[in-house]
Amino acid sequence: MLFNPVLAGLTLRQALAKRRWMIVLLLAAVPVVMATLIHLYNTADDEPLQIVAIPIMTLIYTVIVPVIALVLASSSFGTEIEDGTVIYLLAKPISRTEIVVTKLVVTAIICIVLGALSMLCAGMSLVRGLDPTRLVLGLTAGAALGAFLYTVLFLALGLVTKRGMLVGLTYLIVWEGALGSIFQGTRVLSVRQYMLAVADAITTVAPEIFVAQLPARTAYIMSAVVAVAVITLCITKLRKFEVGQTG
Amino acid sequence: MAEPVTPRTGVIYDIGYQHYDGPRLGRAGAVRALYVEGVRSIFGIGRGGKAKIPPVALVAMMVIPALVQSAVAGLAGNMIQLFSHATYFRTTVWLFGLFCAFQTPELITSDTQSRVLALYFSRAVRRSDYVLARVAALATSLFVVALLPHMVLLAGTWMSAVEVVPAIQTSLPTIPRILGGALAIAILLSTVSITISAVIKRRPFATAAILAFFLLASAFVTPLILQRPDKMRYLALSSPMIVGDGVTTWIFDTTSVKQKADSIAALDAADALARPPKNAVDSAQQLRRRFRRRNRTVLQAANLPGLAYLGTMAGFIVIAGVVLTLRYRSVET
Amino acid sequence: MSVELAHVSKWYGNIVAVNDVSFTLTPGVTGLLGPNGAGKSTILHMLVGLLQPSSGTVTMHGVSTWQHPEIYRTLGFVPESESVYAFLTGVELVRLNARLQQLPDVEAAVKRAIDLVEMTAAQDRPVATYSKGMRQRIKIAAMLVHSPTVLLLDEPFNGMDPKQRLQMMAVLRRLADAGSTVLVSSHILEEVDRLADTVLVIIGGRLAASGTSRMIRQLMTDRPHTFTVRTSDDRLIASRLVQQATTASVEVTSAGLSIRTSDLGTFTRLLPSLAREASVSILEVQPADESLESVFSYLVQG
Repeated sequence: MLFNPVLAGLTLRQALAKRRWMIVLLLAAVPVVMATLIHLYNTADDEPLQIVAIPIMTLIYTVIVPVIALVLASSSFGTEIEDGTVIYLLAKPISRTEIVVTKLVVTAIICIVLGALSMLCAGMSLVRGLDPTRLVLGLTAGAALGAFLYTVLFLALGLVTKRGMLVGLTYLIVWEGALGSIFQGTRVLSVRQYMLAVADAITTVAPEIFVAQLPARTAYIMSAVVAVAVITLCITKLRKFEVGQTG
Repeated sequence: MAEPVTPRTGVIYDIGYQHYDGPRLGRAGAVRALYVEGVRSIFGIGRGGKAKIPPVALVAMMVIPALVQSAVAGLAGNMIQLFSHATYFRTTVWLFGLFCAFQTPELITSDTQSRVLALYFSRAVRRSDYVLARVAALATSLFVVALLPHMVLLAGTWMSAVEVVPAIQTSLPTIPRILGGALAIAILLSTVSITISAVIKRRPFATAAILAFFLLASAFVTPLILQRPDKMRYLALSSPMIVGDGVTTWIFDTTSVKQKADSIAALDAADALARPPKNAVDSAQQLRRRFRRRNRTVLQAANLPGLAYLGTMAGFIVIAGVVLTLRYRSVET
Repeated sequence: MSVELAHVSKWYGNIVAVNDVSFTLTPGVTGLLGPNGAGKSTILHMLVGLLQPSSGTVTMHGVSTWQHPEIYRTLGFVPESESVYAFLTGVELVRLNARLQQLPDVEAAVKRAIDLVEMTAAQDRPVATYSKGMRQRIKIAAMLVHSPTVLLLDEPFNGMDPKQRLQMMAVLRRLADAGSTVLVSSHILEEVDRLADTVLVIIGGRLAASGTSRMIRQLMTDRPHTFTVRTSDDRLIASRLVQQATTASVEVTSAGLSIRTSDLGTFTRLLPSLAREASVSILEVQPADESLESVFSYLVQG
C-alpha cells in the first residue's frame, strides 16, 4: 500500500493548522485581487492587457507558487522533526515509502489546486484578444507542474535540513533568480524554467510575454528525473533517520 | 472533637548558598545586556559558523559593488558612476529587506520560541525596555551596514581625486544626507520587521512573513500604480520598500520625486491625445512607447511629495508601537 | 518474545555514548538504572530501532530492529520527550495511533487504553491543556494502544504524582505478569527497586551491574563507606580504630578524621563504644559519600 488514508488526514489537518492556511490562501488570492482591480479600472484605450498581465504572471510563477509550496511542504516534515512528533509516525509498522508518498500527495494536491486556481482566475480576468484560452491553459499547466515539483523539493528540504525554509528561500532567490539570469547552465536545473517551458509548449505565446529558455522536451525529462531523484532521496533519508538524544 | 493544633514555627536554614550583597547593575545594565546580545544574534557572533553565513553574505553583497566601483576608479583614475549615493540606496533596499527577513527572527522570534520571555520579564527589565533594546540593536546594526558601502564610495572618490582636500570639501554636504538616509532605512525596516517577528511563533514562518510583506506589498502595488497612477498612487505608501525608497530619494534630492514625475505626466497627456493606431507599424510604435513609459519608477508614477513618505514612516512606527505593546502585554510561561 | 543486545556501541564522533553493552530482555519487568547522561535513552532508542548502533546488533526474535518497521506491531515505545500533536484532543491522539497501527477494532482498543491510564475524564480536552503528568499518561495510552508484547518506556514516571506513579506501576506489573516484556528506564533507585525483577545498571555508557534489585542493593550497601568524624581527641580515636579489622584506612586531617570502613553495621556500633572507653567525646559524624553518583562510581570500579 503506498497511500495511507489516516496519515493523509493527519497531514491535511496539520496543513490547515491555525494561521498557516490563512497565509497560504492570502498568497493565492493576491494575484487574483490584483487582476480584478486592474480589470475593473481598465478602460478601452489603456494598454493591452497582455502587457499588464506580465508582472502578475511573473509574480505567480516566481513568488506565489514556490512560496505556497515552501510554506506547506517544508513544514510538513520540518515542524514534525522540530517538535519531536515524528516519532509517532516512525514507531509504526508503516513503510517509509508510504509515509513520504502520502505526505507528498496530500501537500502537492493542496499546492497544485491553489497555484492553478490562482493562475486561472487571474489569467481569465486579464487576458483578452491573444488566443486567451490556450494562453491561460498553458500558464495554468505550467503553474501546476511547478507546484508539484516545488512541493517535492521543499518536502525533501524539510527532511534534510533544520533550516528548510531558509535554504528554500535562498534557492529561490539566488539559484533560480540571480544565478539563473546570469549563467545559462543553471537553467537546466531550475523549476521555474520547467514551468515556463511547459507553458510555452502548450500555448502559442507572443515573445513579448515571455521567452522560455528551455526546450519543452528537456523540461519534461528533467522534471521527471528531478521528481524521481528527490523522492528517492526523501525515502532513503527517512529510512536512515535517527531519533535520539545524547544520554 | 477537634484537637488543638500545635503551632509550628518554621525556620529557613542557611545551608551555605552564596549571597551576593554587592552592587547590582540594575535596569541600565539589563538593557545594555539585551542590546549587546541582540547585536550578537543579528550577526551570528557566538553562534557557530552556520549562523554567520546569512548576515555576512548579505553585507558582502551590499558592499561589493561599492568596492568594485572604488577599485575601478582607483585603477582607471576617474570615477565611473555606476552608483551615486542616491541610487545606491535604491539598489540595496532589497538586500536590507532580505537581511531583516533572515536575521530579525533570530533576534525576536527565537525568544518567543524558546520561551525565555518569562525569564526576562521577571528581572529588572520592563517590557518597553526589552522592545526598545531590541529595536535599537537592529536599527544600529542596519545603520552601520547601510553606512559601509557609502564610506567605501567616499573613500574611493577621495583617493582617486586629483586633489584630495577639495574633493573632501565637495562631498561634505552629501555626508549628512547619507547619514539621514541610512538612519531612515534603519529605523523603518527595523520597526516593521520586528513587529512582524514579534507576532509570529516560529522562526521560519517569521522569515517568510517578513519577506512576503516586503516583497508582496511592493509587487502587488507596483503594477497597479504603473497602470493607473491617478487612482492608485496612494497605494505606494503601503509598501515599506517603496516608502524607504521615497524617503531616501527625497533626502538626496528633494525635487526629484515630484519633478521627474511631472515631466512624465506631460508625456502621458500627449499620449492621451494620440490617435488610435492606423496600421501594424503604428501600433507597434505605440507599444514600444508604452514600454518605455513603463520603465519609469514607481515613485515617479505615484507622484507624491517627499513629506508623504516621511509621514508614512512615522505612521509605520506608531502602528508598530501599538502592536508591540499589545503583543508583549502577556507572556506565556 | 526476547530482545537481545549483543556488543552494542554507539559513538558520535569522539564521544562514546554506549560502550559494548550486551544483555537479553525476557518476559517480566526489567529496570534500566543509571544517572543522567549515562546512555539509558540511547540504549532504549537503539532497542526500538530509532537509532542505528555504531557496532553490534540489536535483535528482536532474530530480526534486527533497525530499518524493520514491522516490529512495531508488537513493540511499543514511550519516549521521554514531551512532544505531542498540540491540536488533537487526548482521545484523538490515541485513536490516531490506533488507526495507524491498523487495529481491527479501533474504538474498543482506544477505550481500553484510556481506561488503563485513567484519562477517561480528560480525554476530550486538547492535549495542549494537559499537565505534565497527564501528557505522560496519554502518551503511554497512545503508544500502548496496540497491546504490544514488548514495552519500552523511557523515564515514564517523570511528572507523575506518587498516586499516579503507583497506579502506573501496577499497570505495568499486570502487563508483565501476563507475559509481556517490559523495560523501564529511570535514575531513581526506589522506582526501579519497587517495580523491576531484574535491574541493569548503566554508568558512563557501560553495563556496570546486573541482577535482581536485591543483589544490586546489597552491592551498593556492602561497599566501603567513608565517614568524616570530629572528636575531642582525634589521634586517640584514630589509634583505637586502626586496631579494628573492619577499618580500611584512617586519615588525620585538619577537618577531623576521614575513616574508610568495609562494614557499615559494625562501624556504627564500634565508634561510640570506643569513644566511651577512651573517654573521648564525639562532636560530629558525617557520611562522606552517600550520593547515588558515588554509589554508581563505586560500582563501575568494582
